[in-house]
Amino acid sequence: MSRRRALLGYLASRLALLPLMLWLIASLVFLLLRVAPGDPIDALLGNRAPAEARAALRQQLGLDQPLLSQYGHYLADLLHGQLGTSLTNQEPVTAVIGRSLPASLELGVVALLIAAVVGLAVGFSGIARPEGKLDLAGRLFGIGTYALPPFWAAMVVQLVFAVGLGWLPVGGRFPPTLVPPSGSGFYLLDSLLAGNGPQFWGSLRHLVLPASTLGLLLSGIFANALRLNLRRALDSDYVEAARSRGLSERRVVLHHALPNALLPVLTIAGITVASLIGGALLIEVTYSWPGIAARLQEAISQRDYPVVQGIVVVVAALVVAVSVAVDLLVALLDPRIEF
Amino acid sequence: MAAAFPSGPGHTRHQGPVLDLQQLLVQYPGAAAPTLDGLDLRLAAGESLALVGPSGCGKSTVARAVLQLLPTGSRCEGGLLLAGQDPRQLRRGPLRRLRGEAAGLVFQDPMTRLNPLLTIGEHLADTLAAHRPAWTRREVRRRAEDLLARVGISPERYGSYPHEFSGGMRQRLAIALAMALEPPLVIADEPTTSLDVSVAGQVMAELSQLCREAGSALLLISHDLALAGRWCQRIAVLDQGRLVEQGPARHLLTAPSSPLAQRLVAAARAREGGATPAAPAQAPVLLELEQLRCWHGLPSLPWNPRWLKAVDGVSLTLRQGETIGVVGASGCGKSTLCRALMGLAPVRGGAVKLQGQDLRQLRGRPLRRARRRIQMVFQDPLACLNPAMAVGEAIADPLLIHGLASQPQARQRARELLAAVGLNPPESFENRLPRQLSGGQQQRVAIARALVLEPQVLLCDESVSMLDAEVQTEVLALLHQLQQRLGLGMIFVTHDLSVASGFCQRVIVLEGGRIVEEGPGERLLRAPQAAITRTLVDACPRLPELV
Repeated sequence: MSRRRALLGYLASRLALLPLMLWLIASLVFLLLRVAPGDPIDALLGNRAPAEARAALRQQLGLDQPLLSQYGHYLADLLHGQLGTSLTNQEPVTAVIGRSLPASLELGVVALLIAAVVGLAVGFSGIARPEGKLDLAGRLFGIGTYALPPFWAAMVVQLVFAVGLGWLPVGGRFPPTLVPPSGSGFYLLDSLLAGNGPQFWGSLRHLVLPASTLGLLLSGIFANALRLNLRRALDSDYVEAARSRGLSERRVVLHHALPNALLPVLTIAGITVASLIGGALLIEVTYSWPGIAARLQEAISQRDYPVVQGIVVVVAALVVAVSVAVDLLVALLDPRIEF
Repeated sequence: MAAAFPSGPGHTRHQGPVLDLQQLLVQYPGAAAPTLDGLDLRLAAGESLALVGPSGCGKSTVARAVLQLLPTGSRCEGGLLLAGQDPRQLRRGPLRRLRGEAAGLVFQDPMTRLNPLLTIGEHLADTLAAHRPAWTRREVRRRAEDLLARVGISPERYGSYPHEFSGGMRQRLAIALAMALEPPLVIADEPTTSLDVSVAGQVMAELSQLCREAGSALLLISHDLALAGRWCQRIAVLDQGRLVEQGPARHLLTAPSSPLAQRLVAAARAREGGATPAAPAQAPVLLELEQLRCWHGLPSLPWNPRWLKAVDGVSLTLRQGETIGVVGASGCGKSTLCRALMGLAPVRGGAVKLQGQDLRQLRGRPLRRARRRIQMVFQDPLACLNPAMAVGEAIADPLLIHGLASQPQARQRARELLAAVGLNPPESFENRLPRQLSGGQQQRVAIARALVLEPQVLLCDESVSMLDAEVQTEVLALLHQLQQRLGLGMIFVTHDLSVASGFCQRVIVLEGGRIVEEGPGERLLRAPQAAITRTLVDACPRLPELV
């Protein structure tokens, strides 16, 4: 009972800290964007535009005001849940995020599932015979996936399966000949709910290559983490004690060693989610996936301040939410953790 | 009581010896020599036998070999019969049944032997379900609760986790697990080494009581002869994987015939008895504690503070060349006292006067300089030495930290100290890593490191309790000799009153952070006054008197 209260207290403290953290991140992004060289006016008009036109645009976008007042406006808007409008095409930033975030989430979730299934299977497979052939192959797989540069791996996969064999589309998220499903923005889910077969099939075919590439690249972390932790758990004293009591090997591995080995893997999975953004960028760019990482990169190159700020704040909030969720899950599963 | 538990299907008691080892040879993969080398051992039903010997003699390997828990690639040859069956000949299923049903194992460290993610009850239920597949959940649960009750754990704690238990409770659970299927043989491998004396006594009493009730034979593996003599009918002495002597406990402890047994018994006697040394006559006072208090704040409301009074008003005076023993059960505040003297635990009140100077009034450089004069030797030498630092460097390090010597000077000093603590020749030891040394050698290095700053007061916190009797005697002799030579004042913390009595001029007994009794160790042993002293004296197993 007191444990549950402690857990709720922990959750409350994290949620209370969230606004502070978001404010810090928002301010940092604001500052960094202004400190970094480059100017949105240059990006919009080119640097050969007449000075009057530049000044007029600067005034129109509010970029002529002192930094402090820009910062004040930005924070006030943020407090009201408004992220502003894009400098390049006047689209509200919320709409930009609303369009590209589901695409990235869909890709990320499916990739993470693939990574978990493949990684855990590979990590588990060597257990029967440590240092055996299967174990060695698993280790090589793990090291290989760490070492592969993501964009290169993505290009090779693209060349082989899309260009060479022609099994799957090269890039994009949806067949250009069809109308995308409406709803949450998760095409796979939306088309499934609508019961639209061609839409579902089309979005699935587009998802397969980017999701498996990203998933395989991440799976090495899972494989090696599980492999190491499982080995350590199987070498532990309590496993020897369990064997001495005559438990079956199956029970020893699945009931005693595996849960202990999976706890650290869960923590690692939480960290991986945060680092997913970087890996996803290269995949999204290579496969022309209209996701939030690709959109962020585009906005940075255009010095589209509001879009960059909006995306970073939303992604930061998501990462915090995921890490708090993982912390809570670990705490629920591990009775030793106290707050 | 025992009849209340139904035996499982097909569970018949084997007639004849429960354990029969003939010329057993075990060699670990990669080892140069066999660990067990022609061991003959026989245990009749219901008998209790203690297997003793110096560390590294292969005692623990016996338990592993009997249940075939040896790492893959080990060599295991010779006769091995457990309840009439050779575990090496069995296929997986029957071997699995043999483990737990024919022999139960109680290990040394109960914490690491329990799965941290499973509850107490799940541990028991898991074991019962593996061997009694026909039982319903309710039957398993009832039997598990019965077992808990039998080892003195309330069945209400069925859902507790191991980390919520004390060491003694965990070891009780380990006993319940080993006894769950009432095996004809229980093997207990140093079951009380990690427990404090009074708890150890209770745990051993429960273990042997349960074995008697269930008619199980007990194989006690221990380095402690007194413990072996108290709880077992027979003692077998092991050396380098071979049996050197066996016989009735009393006879072996009073009239050992083999040289090794004689040495072991002599070491145990030297450690145990030993006349209390005379106090030095009016030597100068080194250290004075006045009403020392170390209170830790417990989680509480600010206007209603609650305190854990680890040390609560302790006063003592330590003279040059004197040793004061500090004894007490776990949690009595003896370690906190040491840590407070070292400045590692916060002090809330009182005074610590080192040669008339109150350490609590000092700050900054003078404080650091004063602190050099108090040094400490910890319990676990391997844990307190940097595993990646050669021992020569480890000893020289304090000199460099305090800027007292140049690198070559410090190295030279380290060599001198290695020689002083008996690690000769120093050149062959200084470049070794801690784990390449034996436990006794590691503790010598730790002592050398404590002495390198030329302290006047040496704190020893359970400094010999992890060593076996023979090595203990050697380390104690070394400490004594160093004290004579350097005029050290020592505070010697131990849970073992008999060791303190032979080593210290005066012994204080702590309970709840206060001194409850004080005097020469001999008197405390002979005529304990305080209740806790009596418990400590009673709990401590002693060798039988020589007649």
